[in-house]
Amino acid sequence: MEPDQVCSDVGFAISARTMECTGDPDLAAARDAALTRDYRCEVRSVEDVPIDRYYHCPIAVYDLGCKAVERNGDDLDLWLEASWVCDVILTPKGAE
Amino acid sequence: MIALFAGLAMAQGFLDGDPLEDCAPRVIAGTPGVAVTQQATRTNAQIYGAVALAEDTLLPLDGVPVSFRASNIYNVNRLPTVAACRYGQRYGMAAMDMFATSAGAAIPFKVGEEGELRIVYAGSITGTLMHFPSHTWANNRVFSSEAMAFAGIGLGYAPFLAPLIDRESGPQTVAADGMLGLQFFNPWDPELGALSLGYVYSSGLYSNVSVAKLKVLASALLTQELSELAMAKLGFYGIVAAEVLGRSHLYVRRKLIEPPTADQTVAPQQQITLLAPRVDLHTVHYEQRNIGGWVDIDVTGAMTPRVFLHEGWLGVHDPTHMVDVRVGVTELPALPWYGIDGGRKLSYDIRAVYGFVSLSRNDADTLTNFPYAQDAIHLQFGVSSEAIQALRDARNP
Repeated sequence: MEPDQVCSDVGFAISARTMECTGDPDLAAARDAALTRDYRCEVRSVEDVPIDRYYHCPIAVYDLGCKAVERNGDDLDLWLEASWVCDVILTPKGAE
Repeated sequence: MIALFAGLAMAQGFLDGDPLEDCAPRVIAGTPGVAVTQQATRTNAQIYGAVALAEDTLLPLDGVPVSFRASNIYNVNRLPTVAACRYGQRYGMAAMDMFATSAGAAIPFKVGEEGELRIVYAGSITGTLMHFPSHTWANNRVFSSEAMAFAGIGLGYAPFLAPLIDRESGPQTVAADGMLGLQFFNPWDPELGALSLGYVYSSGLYSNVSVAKLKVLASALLTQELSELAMAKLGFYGIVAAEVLGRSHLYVRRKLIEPPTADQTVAPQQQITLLAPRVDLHTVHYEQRNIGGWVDIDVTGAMTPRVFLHEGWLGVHDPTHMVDVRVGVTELPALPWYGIDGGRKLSYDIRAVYGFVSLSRNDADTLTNFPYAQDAIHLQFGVSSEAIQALRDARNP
């Protein structure tokens, strides 16, 4: 497993929930692309912390209902509030 | 076959140094990939299950009276997995494979002077397997997958056992299905068409209209199961412009690719909205078959969701269709809600014994049915509509 797999799976989760709740493939693709463009994956090794703890983030994102998907919209910070782990594994590019 | 083993050996990776005997692997539950697995299981049961076998091989007017097939698709999905091993935790993406076995028969009866009806029955066992390296020979990936596929053929002839077989253990599943029906032929002209009515264990009442293969075909729209798969074809079939150029097929096809559904998180009142979000894949197919008796060329362009070359194939076969080899490229659009970047993949398709044995890698049908597959290898034994067509071509070149 590549260390950034868990971060890719966060984008996968955001895109899947967007697709399921809005039916808009362009919007689902755009949100996945925005995560890759605007956030840096901080996971350097899958051995540091058991990876299933990191997976709390994509699982929580994927667990969001359609009302939360609508509320979060294009604001990825809101999406990443689904789990405190998201702040550990993903940080905005340009942030210290 | 060598390519299959080599490909699977390279794909194994996870837990290579720590076999199953020293580790207890478990898939991380709740990830989007697990939802994709549930969808893959349903798709596998639809495409390679009892009803599909009946529609492909038994119900067509030129179908066969007895039919079976065993199918395995390797690398349908990859799931994040944790393994507690003797020497510590191991993490990796574990490959998921699918198997399907089905068998059936159509028994004809005379009704009066001219009439005919057939009793049609078919059964299937489909499921999902995950494999990890092991010292035990019986746990070998290809062996155990093929054993599951072949072991079910006998049970497929006993569809009434279906309620006893369904099992689920995490991402690994076994499900059975069966159908029993009657096929009525047009009493004025039996070769014109037939109506089938029956009962399917998994989905209830079943109906199907089989029409004679015309130059213009629109039959896919008429079948219940294919409409659930949301696939439709319309076009021209078997046009002969010049004998040396062989036959031309030109048709458009619509295929709906569904997103994964997180069933457990969606309130019932929201589920109705889930019917809408699908991606339309409209493709235009041009197939020039049997050029000079040896060569086939297939080109498929996608019109939506964007214009791109969906697949291109160059094939060679002997005049009797005993062996048919095709090489080409297949392209799919990016589908980030499946964790797929899209792009072109090298593809091959080898058919032997009139298509009764087939091995393909990344063919467009498999990738559009299972769009989350990164590198799918499909191995199938038995009767298929292509095999029936190849036999017909061999008899009437």
